[in-house]
Amino acid sequence: MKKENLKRRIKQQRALQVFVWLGILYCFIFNIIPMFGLIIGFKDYSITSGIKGIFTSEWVGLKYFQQFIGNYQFGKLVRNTVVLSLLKLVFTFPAPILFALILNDMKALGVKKIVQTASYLPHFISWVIVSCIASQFLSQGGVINSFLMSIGLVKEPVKFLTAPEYFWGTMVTLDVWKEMGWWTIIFLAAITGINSDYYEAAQIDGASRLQRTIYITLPCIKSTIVVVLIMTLGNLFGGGLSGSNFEQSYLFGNSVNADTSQIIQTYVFDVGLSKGRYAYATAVGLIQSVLSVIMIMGSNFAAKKISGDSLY
Amino acid sequence: MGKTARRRKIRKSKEDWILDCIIYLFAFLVFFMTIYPFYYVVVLSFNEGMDANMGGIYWFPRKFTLENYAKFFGDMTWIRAAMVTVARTALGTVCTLFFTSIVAYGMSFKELVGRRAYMKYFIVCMYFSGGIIPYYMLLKTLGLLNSFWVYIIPSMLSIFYITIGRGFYEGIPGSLRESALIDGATELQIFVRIIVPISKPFLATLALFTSVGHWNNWYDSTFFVKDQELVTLPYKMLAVINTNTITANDMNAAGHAASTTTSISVQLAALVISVAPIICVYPFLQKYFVTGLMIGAVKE
Amino acid sequence: MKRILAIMLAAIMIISMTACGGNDNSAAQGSSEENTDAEASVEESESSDVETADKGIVDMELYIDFTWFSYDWVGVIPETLTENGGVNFKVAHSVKDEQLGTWIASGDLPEIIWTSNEIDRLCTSDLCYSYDELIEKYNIDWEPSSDRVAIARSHNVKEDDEHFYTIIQNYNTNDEWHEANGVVPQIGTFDYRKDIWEEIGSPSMNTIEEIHDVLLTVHEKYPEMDVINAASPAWRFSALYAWFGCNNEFCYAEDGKTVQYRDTTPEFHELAKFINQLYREGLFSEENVSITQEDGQADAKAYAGENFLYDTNLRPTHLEKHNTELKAQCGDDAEFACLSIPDDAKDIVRANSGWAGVFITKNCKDPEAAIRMIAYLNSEEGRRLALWGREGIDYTLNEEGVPQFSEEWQEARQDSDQFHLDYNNEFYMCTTELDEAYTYYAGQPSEVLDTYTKNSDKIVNYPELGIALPTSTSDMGVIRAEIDNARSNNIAKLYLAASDEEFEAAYETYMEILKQCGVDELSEYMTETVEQVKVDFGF
Repeated sequence: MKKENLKRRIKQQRALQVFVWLGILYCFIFNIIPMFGLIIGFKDYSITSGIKGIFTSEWVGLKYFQQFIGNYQFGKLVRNTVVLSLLKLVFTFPAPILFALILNDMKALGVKKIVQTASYLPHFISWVIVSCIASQFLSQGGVINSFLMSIGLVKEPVKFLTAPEYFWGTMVTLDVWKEMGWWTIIFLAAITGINSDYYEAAQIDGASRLQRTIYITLPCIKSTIVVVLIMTLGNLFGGGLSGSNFEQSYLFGNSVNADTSQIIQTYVFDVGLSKGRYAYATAVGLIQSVLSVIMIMGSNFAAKKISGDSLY
Repeated sequence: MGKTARRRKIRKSKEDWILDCIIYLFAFLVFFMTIYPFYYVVVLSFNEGMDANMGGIYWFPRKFTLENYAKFFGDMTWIRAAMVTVARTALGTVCTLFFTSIVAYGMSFKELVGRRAYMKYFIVCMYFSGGIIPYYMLLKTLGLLNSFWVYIIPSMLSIFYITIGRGFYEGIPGSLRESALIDGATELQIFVRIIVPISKPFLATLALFTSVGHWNNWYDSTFFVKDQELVTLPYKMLAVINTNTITANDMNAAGHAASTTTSISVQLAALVISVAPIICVYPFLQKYFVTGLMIGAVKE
Repeated sequence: MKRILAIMLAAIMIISMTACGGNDNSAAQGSSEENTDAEASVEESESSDVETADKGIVDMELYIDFTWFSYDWVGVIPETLTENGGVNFKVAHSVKDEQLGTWIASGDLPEIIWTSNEIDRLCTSDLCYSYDELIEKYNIDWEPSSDRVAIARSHNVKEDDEHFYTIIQNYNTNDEWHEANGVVPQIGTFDYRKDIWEEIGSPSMNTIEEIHDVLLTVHEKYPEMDVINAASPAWRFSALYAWFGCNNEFCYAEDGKTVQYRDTTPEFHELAKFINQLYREGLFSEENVSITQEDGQADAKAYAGENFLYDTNLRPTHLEKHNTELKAQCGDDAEFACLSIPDDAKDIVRANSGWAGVFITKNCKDPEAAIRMIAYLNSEEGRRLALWGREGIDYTLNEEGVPQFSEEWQEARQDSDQFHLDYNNEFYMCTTELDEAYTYYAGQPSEVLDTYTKNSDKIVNYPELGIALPTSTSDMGVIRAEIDNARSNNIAKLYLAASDEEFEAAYETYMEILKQCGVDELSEYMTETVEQVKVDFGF
């Protein structure tokens, strides 16, 4: 009986099943098949042995994993990856909420629109280009330093791009600069959806603007905040919402700030493609992938608990 | 509207004034900090190269020149790269739009058999990858290397937008589809004639993202294409930027290269050329992606 | 808005249709042709090599694995090379260092490759044709000297592989150097501002200490000035390294046998301390050390007159260029001159065993034409043509065998862009270091030459130290790469330490890290291999 039912259902939705299966097939070809390449993380694979080598080379077990954990850079790489990710969570995530609240309180609609439109321009610009612009701005002879020195805020130019102690701060600031406007869209949309009766009631009770924001607006967009937060957590080690960790470290890292700028992903790229230790790089990359999947599943689970609805 | 106006008149307290000041100051700061870097780059790109290196230029070019741009517009390879980029952006966007939205539409059907399993499968595909070499081998086997199609086909499906699109299509009342089915329309016809016209915000968002992604992508051109006739604008741009990159331990290379540095102004001109189209287009699509993005994240 | 969108969509459709139609053919054709063609022709050329004997000019892909190389196969020199060698190269440049690595991993290579980073991975019959087999098969009249062959072989992926897949360029034997006239091998030196030096009374600069004093005087007199510009990542402080006896990555210990990694020697400690002292005295800025790319900003500072000492002066032509730029910005009085090697410099060890190589990959459609061309480029005629132009027109040899360039040539060289369009002597794919040195030194006034040649007898070359280096794919190669990485991550801390204690601490840490990376194993390996190389080559 049940089987019959299933058959009939499938027949009914035949066309829709075809649509979806097209996607599944496509993903199988472009995503699943290359995953077989991951097994070289456990093999003595040489980059010159080609596609055959993936299957024919010898198993070495967890050799590369041990090598990585024993490497003198291990601690530093893990610390940098985690710290940079957490800093972005703390700063890049709330920034658009704050900006949305501010925009919402602006009464001159024309101005608001212009500011908002401008604010999400950087989102469309690639990091390669941002790094090009940033090196013009933040270098020791750059615009920012000239400005800071001319108003007497600093005596010596600040080494935004070179000193290890400034790297994280600079990266988080750039991340906020690039992505804040974009994610504001979501929060602003949520704010617009709030029933205006609440505000009027508060008005009558004599609540100030600040109070209204804190006691009405914020609680009303709580669910949106939670959803975005979970998305951020899901990609925590990639750099949160914008997923910018790799590109930032790759483009802004240099030998002087290496102590804080090198992260696992750039290390993988370096040993893998530049140095040709492909098997080792795959193993290290796999560690990061597994960590990410744990984060994603964890945050999805959290989402279910909090909002009763999983993201996926 | 009248209400707010009245309210404003009645209660414009001191606190309001201060708050307004802060708000407008902050907004202005954001605006300035976003726009000025781009303005500055444009200014430098119109300045004479050697002179620009010395710094001290903020608002207007000191030694105005068009030479930095002449280098690009006189060069057929740049024109060709621009054409390839336009073509891939246009075609790639259309393909992604169609394919992604149709899969998302299929996934949105609540009674779809195996829906949960499919979704899990897609998520796995989204977050795991086998790395560049196996992927490269795959493209080679498919005959996509060194072909224009390598720009289009591998990026035809965006899994992230399947999840967003699914949410969007779920919001469309099922009665629309059912009544059309009764009228004898096929699913494809329903999709094209009924669903597409009412899903503009989603499609526009997807279109904007895909096209910006295509426009900025240097990766596929760098690794998957050898034919110089097929390279894209970001690739050429990267090449200009990287003419000054020398592996730091290759002293011979550095010795040879010392005579061939490209000035920063030329790099910035390349930058302006590749960014300008994005700046020109995105404000007009704003309305759509604002609604489109909302669907993804604001769930009731 | 609806209408606008409709119009836009329509426009996109139209564009994509035409794009689709236009590119459809070329792209699809291109790819399918490429793939099948390449395979087919490889087999074909294996079997039927008789008929190719007298065909004309062959077009061939040349992939140049240097991101900084921006010249095309144009100009009178490439044209003549094509005419004489029979191959017209279609040049493609690298945009990323990782590009070729990917292609090697997937076995999908351009026809001809010119590289220095990937030599160790290309020296295998899986990817490339060996020169010796092609020479034999097509009966080419070219027999590379045995040491050059041996050097090429030292890069082979498989140790027991008897073939050689390239001839490494930029190499000369010690004997060849001894016979040479008026040229100096490439080592790092500084430019100094002669006008400023004269202003402070032309104090003597014959020892390191005297030079140091001059720097301090300049700093005192011009506190605004960033006295030392050491911003070139590859050549940073290379002159100081040379003078302190740390020129090469590896060097012999006092017994003359044991090989040591440079940074573990006492000389290095002394050198690092000296550089740190310079930093603490305010003679160079921290930003100098952090530059990882040559982006012209550092050069611009030197040209704008903001520095007294300026590195990346490797040859008189560099000095010439620096002076042109400097005078353009600071007036005719400003002048750079070459800072000669001081009298108390230690022996300057070089280990030049060549630099880059040209490879004929298995994807090459016409290996015969390729090997003929490469043989021509390696011949004396080809090498000279590539660098010096046409004999009798662009240069003539004087009685000492040194080229004298024509006036047109000298004049054309003033405008480097135009020079590269008209002449273009940048395809030094198969030339030697000496050939190149002549292009840089010929026709220089003797007082300039003297500054370069002074004390140059301190330079000694031990090619075995270069030949013995492990290939990058071997286990030792991995250690070497790790050490390299550790070096670039730690060296700045030594240079920029704020106090003696901090310096010593940083030094200790660095030594500790080197040990962890396996520097002792590597030195041991080098000691053994060098021994072997010396026997094999008869050094």
